[in-house]
Order: sequence, then C-alpha cells, then structure tokens
Amino acid sequence: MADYRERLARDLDRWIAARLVPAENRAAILESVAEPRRLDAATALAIVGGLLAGAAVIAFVAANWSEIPRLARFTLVLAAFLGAAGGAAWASGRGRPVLSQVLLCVAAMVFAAAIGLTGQIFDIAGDAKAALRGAGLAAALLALAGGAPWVGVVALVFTGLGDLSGSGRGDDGQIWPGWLVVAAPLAAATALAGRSSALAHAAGIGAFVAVFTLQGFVAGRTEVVFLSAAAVLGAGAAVARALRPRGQAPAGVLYGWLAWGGLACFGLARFGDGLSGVGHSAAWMALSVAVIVLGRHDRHAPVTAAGVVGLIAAGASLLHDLGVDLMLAAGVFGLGSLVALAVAFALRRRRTS
Amino acid sequence: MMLPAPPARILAVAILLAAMLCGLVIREGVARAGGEEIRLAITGYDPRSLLSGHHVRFQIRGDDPTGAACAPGSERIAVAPKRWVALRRQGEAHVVSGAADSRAEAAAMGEVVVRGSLNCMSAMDETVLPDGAVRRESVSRLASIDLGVDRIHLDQAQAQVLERRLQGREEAAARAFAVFSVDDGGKARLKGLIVEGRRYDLDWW
Repeated sequence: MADYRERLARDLDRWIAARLVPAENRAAILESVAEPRRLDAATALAIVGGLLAGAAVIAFVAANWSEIPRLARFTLVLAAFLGAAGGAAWASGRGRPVLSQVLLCVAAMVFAAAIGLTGQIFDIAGDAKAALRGAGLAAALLALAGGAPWVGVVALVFTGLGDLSGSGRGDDGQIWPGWLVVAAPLAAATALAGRSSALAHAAGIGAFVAVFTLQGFVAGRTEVVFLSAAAVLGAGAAVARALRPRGQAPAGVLYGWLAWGGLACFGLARFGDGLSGVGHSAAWMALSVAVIVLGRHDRHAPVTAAGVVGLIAAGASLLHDLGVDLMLAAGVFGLGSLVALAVAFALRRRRTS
Repeated sequence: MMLPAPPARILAVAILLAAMLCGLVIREGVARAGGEEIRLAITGYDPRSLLSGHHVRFQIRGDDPTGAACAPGSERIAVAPKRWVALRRQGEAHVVSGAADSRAEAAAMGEVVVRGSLNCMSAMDETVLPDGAVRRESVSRLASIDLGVDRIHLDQAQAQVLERRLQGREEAAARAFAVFSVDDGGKARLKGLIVEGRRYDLDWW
C-alpha cells in the first residue's frame, strides 16, 4: 500500500504538470489512500522483549525440570498454555489483532509442546502422528475461535508434520490419506473468506504436500495419483484465477501455488510404471508453454515461473527419453518451435484485428 | 443465534483443550491402575547404555530364556508386523509365546494378549555330528517386543541409581523387568521398572 501511495504521488505530480488534475486536489486524493498499519519501534521492541522473557522462563524451568514434582510440571505446562490463550483473548478484546494472533500462535505451539510434555511427565506412550495431528486440530480450533488466520498456518504445519510422520498406517493396519487432503482445501476456503494471504500460502503448499500422502493409499498407481492430483490442482488454480479480478489477493497467491503444484504433479506422473516416454514429456512441455502464456497474460510472475521451470524440466526429461538420437531430438524441438511460433502468430493477429 | 465475541470464544476453546489434556492424564492413570499387571524382562538399548538423560531407555526381551527358536508369528524384518503378541506366565514374569494378526489367534497362544509386534533375529546354530555331518537349526538369538513403550522418565537421582546398578553388568539385565498394565483392549501402559528386586513405580509426584 505504501508503494502505491508513493507511486500515486509521483503520478499526481506528473498529471498536475500536464494539467490533467487540478493541483488543489492533490492532498485530498492522497489522503483518500489509507496508510497501512505499521509496527512502530516501541511495539517491535516490546514483542522482542516478551519473547526473550518467555525464553528466559523456559530455560529456568528446564534447568530445574527434574526437581519439580510431576503434577507441578503439568500445572506449569497448562498455565503457560492458558496464559498465552488468555493474553490472546485480552488483546482481541482490546482491539489489538496483531498481538492477539501472535499470542494465539504461541498458545497453539505451547499446546503442541504440552501434548509431548504430558506424555513425558506421566509416561503416556503415544503415536507421534496422533500427537502432531492433535496439535494441528487444537490450533485449528484456536484459529476459528479467534478468527486468526496465522494460527491456521500453524494448524496446517502441525497437520502436515503429522501426515508425514510414521508409516501412515491406522490402528486397523490400513494406509489412509493424510488429513491435509481435507485440511488444505478448508484452509484455502478460509483464506479466501478471511482474505489472508499467509493462510493462502500455507494452503497452497499444503495442497501439494497432501498429494504425497495419497501414494500409500493408492499403492502401485503412481501415475494415476499424480495425474488426478494435477487435474484437481489445475482446477483449483482455475477457480483461484477466476476469483482474482475481484480484488482477492489470497486468490492470486493460491493461483500461483496451485499452478506450481499442478504442473509438478503432471511431471511426477512419469515416475509411475504406466506412464513415461516421449509422449508424456511432449505433453508436459506443451502444458508448461501454456502455463507460461497464461502467466504472461495474467501478469502473474509465480505462474510464469512455474511454466518456465516446468519447460526446463520437461525439456530435460524429453532429452532423456530420446537418448542420444540427436536427429530425433532436433525434429521434436523443431516441431515444438513451429507450433509455438504458429500460436504466437495467431494470437498477435487476433489482437491486431 | 449470536456467536459469542472472539475473546469469549478463545477462552472457551482454551479451557476445553486444557480440560481434554487433563482428561487424557486422568483416563491414562485410571487405565494404568485398573489393567492386568504383567512383568517383562528388559535389556539395555544399543548402542547406548540404558541411561540417557533423565529417562531410562530399554528394550523388552522377546527371546525365550531356554534358547528356543523364534516364537511363532515373529517377524525377522517388521515391515507389516503382526499386531498382537501372546504372553504366558513363567515364574514371576511373563514371556512371549507367539504373535498373530488377530486377537483371537494370539489368545490361543498365551494367557495374556497385548497390542504390539514381535521381532526376532534368528541365527543358524551349527553342530558337527559324530559322523562329520553338520546339523543346522534356527535358534532365537535376539528377539524384542515392541509395545510402543521403550523408556521411562525418572528424576535424576533415581536415574543415577539405576545407572549404577545396571552399568557394565550383563547379568543385571536378566534381573531387570518392565511392569506393564494391560487393559481390556490389549493396550500396555508402563507402570514402572524392577531392577535387582527393587521396584521404581511411576507416581503423580
């Protein structure tokens, strides 16, 4: 926003010089653009001081941990959690959303630690996967209660860590998809509803990571998993792209990550037994070129970058597929070049007409 | 219906989560006190000694003290291990008598069944017979039971006492037991350790 204000000031000076805008309107126009809220030095120092005080308390308790009775240790852990959550509630009530979100993030992380420490204090054996997912669920509840998207990011991180830890087998011995398969789309919808770019970043990455939790569930069908995932992520990218013109910054973020994820999944499908070779690589290249064109058209740098990286990877993959047959490689690349030039020419003619 | 304000919601969720954590501790404590008590021989966990920091790490012995071959159902490599371990009483402790995929199968092998897996690294024992022939037979050399519990957290003083009793004394390992409580669902919860006849119980303090 500050960049926009500065750019607007420069543009206004230019427009006034060109007599496009009356000079007396300059101040009123600039005042109509709100200054974004910034952390001042005192607030930043207070946050650093608070974090250092917390670290000091943790180090002191850790140094005397074994001397403290078990019940007292458990009470300490609970008090730390309730203290952070209570502070977040207080800050929320006082209209301090940044402080409230920070304290809620601390509370979510303390609760995650509390699960582990409770297991240690009372020697309760448990599954690391279940503990991490429990911490993720608790963070999600806190995020919903406080309307705090940053805590949603913490929830997704814990859920993802839980999905990736252990064997993935449930109590029944079966392998199940990770919780991210449900959590990432929910987080994406929440990011759009709450206009949170931070949560949109986490949801986009989480959607891609979720694909890897499906591999064990659909064992032996790698290409099916990744091609289906590419289609789903591509569809998600299309929806996010459609929401962008409505001024949805998180939609732009999701559009970028889902385009990256979809293209990467399409490329990874070649590691399945049933799909590899020149056909897949050529299709991957074509898809990458289409993504570059889309990224340039939408002026969306991450999408363009996804296409460029995809094109390089697909080119390398194609060369690998063709082996040392340079004549065949020249033919394939030449054909690709002709198709690209023909499409570019057609697009230019359409724009000119 | 009006939703409560965010501060009230945050406090409500925080109290709910804290209550759930307390409930977990109480439930585990009640289950630990109410389950059937079993004792299983333990040994140190290589490459470290039994002691590390303020917790004692151990491995539950699954081998038959008589040197018999691996118990039925044991896995050499636990890729998809059997999920139930059968135990039978031998003296004051329990020893493994087999492992199976289902509780019913395991129950047919022993008096107590518990959720877990049995890993057995069998070795070939070669005996040269009087006629010069070599007889090979599989014998249990190193076997362990995984019940999801491999350590007990003790205060520093207790841990140091255990260290002194166990360090560098191979025969002491044979006299060390982990005491578990097994509930109706077959879940084992650690209650304490017995080392050289002295019992170290988990308590609330």
